[in-house]
Amino acid sequence: MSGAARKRILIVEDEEALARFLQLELESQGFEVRTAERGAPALRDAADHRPDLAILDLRLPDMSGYDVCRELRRLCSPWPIPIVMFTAMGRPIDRLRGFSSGADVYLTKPCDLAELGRTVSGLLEETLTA
Amino acid sequence: MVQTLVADPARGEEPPRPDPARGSARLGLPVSDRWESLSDLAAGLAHEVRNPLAIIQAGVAFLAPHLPPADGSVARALQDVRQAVDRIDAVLEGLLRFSDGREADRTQEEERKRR
Repeated sequence: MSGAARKRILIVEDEEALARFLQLELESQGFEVRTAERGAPALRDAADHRPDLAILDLRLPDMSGYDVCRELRRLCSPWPIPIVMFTAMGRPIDRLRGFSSGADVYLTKPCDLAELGRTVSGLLEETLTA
Repeated sequence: MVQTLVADPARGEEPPRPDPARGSARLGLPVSDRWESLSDLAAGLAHEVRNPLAIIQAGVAFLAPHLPPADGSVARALQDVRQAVDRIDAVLEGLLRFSDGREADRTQEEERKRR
């Protein structure tokens, strides 16, 4: 995955252990990974480091993941940034809200991290060819 | 209360159909409020349980390549953990569908009454 080696991924996840496993998985695939446990620091990090893709939890301690998603879209405009919602909230209404706020993919926990890695790679490849 | 509403799909169990009138009378709540509360409770429960489930699943996936193949008992143990995670998740999914389905039924019924 040499093409993806320089891609930066921002993980916004307040479950520290899960964020660590995600980071290990994605780093093993050659991505550069930054993590944030809250929405506001994540947005500051995104403004400073411009991630190529973001993985968002929905229930964060300081703000809704939906709001983080919308603000990420605004921050990164006009460059497209794929956003993956990775959440324990799996009701149809939650998915609808996720896509309405700008998510490209909605994955429900628990989820195979290898699948998440494939999703990330696929989204980044789509962005490259868009 | 949750135990009485949760069935294990892996065992072919169907959730019992509670009597809404009986429950609402006991709680002193209108039926509509009770189902809304149940839906919120189910969503909150699923959220709180699925996060640790995700950690367990991720941890197993992380450990798997680092463990010795030995006699297959390690692989079997990991598979048992994965299956247990899937079972719990299926129970949660059943609970969510049950509560959301009843919520949708209630909404449709109220719309019919309004017409």
